[in-house]
Amino acid sequence: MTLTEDDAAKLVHSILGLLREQGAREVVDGIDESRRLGIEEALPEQRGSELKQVGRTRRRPPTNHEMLQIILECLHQRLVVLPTIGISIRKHLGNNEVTWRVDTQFVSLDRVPEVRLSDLLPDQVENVKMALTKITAVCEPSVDEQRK
Amino acid sequence: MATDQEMTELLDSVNNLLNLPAAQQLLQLNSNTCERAYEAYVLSLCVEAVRRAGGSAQLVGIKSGPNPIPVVFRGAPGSMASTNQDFAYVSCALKNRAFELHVDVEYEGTSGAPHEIDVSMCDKAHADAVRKTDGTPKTEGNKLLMAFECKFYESTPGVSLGRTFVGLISDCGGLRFEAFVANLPSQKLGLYFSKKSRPSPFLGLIPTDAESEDRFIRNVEQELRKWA
Repeated sequence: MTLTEDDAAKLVHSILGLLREQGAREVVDGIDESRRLGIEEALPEQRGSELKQVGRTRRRPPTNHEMLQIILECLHQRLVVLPTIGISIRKHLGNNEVTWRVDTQFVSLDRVPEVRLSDLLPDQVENVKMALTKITAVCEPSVDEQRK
Repeated sequence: MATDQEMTELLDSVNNLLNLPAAQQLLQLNSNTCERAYEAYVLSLCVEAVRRAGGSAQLVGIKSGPNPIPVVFRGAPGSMASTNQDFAYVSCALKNRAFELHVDVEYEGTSGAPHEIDVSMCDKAHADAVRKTDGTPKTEGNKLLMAFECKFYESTPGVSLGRTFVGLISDCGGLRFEAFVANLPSQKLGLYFSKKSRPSPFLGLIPTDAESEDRFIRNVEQELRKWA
């Protein structure tokens, strides 16, 4: 399947809407930050003495395709990489019961609640990985799109 | 161009994915949790490096002693000496060297300014003194041996954190090894750290990339072997 810029825009809109509905505010914030940072690219080869005087990169807003790839990478980190980090901690430390707690003399529990390693490893996390892999494969930019 | 039916199916797949209970649980974790988990992951790779170098590493709870259950890591940067929780560190030995690995501990730099170091390797005798006196560990004089800045990026990496870490390291005196570790690759950060005497970059270090893990562990192991 080849997605057009309009198709990619629809998907971006839909995913961001779903993330907002689910209260995944910090995930959306990360995506917004990536949009703000834009895409850096090298200036095209040109001749002229002016080019020697300026930086060789410029920043431009991401296309809808690029935004879609940014979102999918963000979801990959959250839904696939994060659980594997949990597995790796358990493997190397040899302990299932890992907890993150704050020093309550300095930080309120309301602000940073206690988290357990098991929170990173929800049941059926493999299904999430499979579903995301399928979606990512469909949304991969075509060779033509990558060359643009 | 995708057909209407293909687009409908794709949108349904996205909807189904984001409505899976496991996905919802992971998406609702706050960023602080992801950061803390990534730091513990880097600590666990340092433990692996110590073992590969031929050393020993044992988890210790500041109140409960060896092999604490549960293992409690700091949810926010804090004092090495704090006994408010049974905070854990890793006690290590390699040849005749004794040292500790800590997560999210505050150190006092050469200027006297405090610095939060995500994952640190500290001389054991100094850490013992800190716990005994309820003081703050210092960075200089072979007290802080290694420092790792760890970042779980959820947006395109910029160079600002790298810049901050370079500033931090410049206030630490001479360290055996300092590294900037992040889950995402970044050309910009790679360029920034390519200058001589800057911290070593490990960008794109994640468990699903075995080569990236191996490279990190080998580098830490090598520095440990050179030192011990």
